[in-house]
Amino acid sequence: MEEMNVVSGQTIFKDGEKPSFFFLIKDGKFKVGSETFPAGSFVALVEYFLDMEMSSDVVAESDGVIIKYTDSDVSENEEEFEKVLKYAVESLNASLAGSVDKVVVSDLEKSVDVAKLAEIAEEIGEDELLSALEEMVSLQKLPEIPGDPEKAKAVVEMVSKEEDIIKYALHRIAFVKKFPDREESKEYLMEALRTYMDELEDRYGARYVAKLVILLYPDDEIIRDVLRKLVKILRDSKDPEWFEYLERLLVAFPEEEVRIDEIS
Amino acid sequence: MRSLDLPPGSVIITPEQVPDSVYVLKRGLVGIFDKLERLMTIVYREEPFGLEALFGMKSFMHIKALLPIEVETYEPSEFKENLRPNMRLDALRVLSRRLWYVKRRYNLTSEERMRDVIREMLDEGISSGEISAMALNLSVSDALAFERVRGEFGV
Repeated sequence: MEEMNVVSGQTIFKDGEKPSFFFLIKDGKFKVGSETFPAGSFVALVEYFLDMEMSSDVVAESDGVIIKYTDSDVSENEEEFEKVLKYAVESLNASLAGSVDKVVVSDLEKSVDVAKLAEIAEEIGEDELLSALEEMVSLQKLPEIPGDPEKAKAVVEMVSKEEDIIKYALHRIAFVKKFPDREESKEYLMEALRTYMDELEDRYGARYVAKLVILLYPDDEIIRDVLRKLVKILRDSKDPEWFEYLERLLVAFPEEEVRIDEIS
Repeated sequence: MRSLDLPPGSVIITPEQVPDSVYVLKRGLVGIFDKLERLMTIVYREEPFGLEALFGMKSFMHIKALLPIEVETYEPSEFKENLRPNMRLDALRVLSRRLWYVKRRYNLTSEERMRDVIREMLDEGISSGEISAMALNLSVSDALAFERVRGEFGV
């Protein structure tokens, strides 16, 4: 461990930098993004142990003293290890203890149980609420299609993939949203999913369509593959929502347990 | 050390209690939930949980089995004695990952997503009228939140 004096305004790590150590604030305080860390806090611990880049600058807000730590300081010194471990356990508990006021929005999230969303879900139905939120965050502007299903189908079939691949996928989604019970709807949606995933390689679009499949056709035999795809997309894009879909996958298909490592 | 087999749904640690043992997951899957029973993160095989027991601290986690599981339970002193240097680093990595996921999870608040959406719409040159119209698709409380966020952008 190495002690180091710092002056107010001094940058210890820059946004995007992988920290080569984490540190204990012995004296003074530090600004990390919108958070201020007082004396007694460990800074950059998560990024250091996960070998991740900092997501904001780490700047001293006052003159002070820090103690730098690396692997050997905690692996070979039991007392220091326990100090860091205790801090990490306390931090995790503090995050979870303070969670009640925070709303987390996602479509399968029980956060609709949070008072303000629960009332709305009761009024308009959970699917409607989820669908509205999904559309809002997806940035998908769906094309207008005729109200008559046969005319709508004709419009959808007219759009070729070669002509405009995005238009091709969006028309299929628009049809499904308007006529979810039509025979061709499931195939349209699966085709849109394949297009986003395999051809456009658009994770965001793919996850949007995958969620629609789950919402609209939850009992279908395709659900396992869609769930696995979604877990992978979300996991790869480091979106913590993947846990929810993993849970749903495991509840529906307990035998998937053996394949978790493969997904992970 | 004792070995336990538990069925899915078994609650292993309840919030606001000091766990009496440290657990190591050997088989199956365990979820860490917050007070509202929202799944926050999971425990992988060979990972410890209930580390609060080492410090006599209360846990704020709700930990339960998502699948049939097998866990090893250790008295706190027994767990400490068994920790080798590389296992200490692993324990800190595990906690770091859980911290990161929990933090990320709570950062995904609706208002933050709304900000991203509005920012992107403005970048695309979409009019303030069209942005405002989006609120019509939302529930009352979300629409209010949306209007508040929209106000931040002055559109």
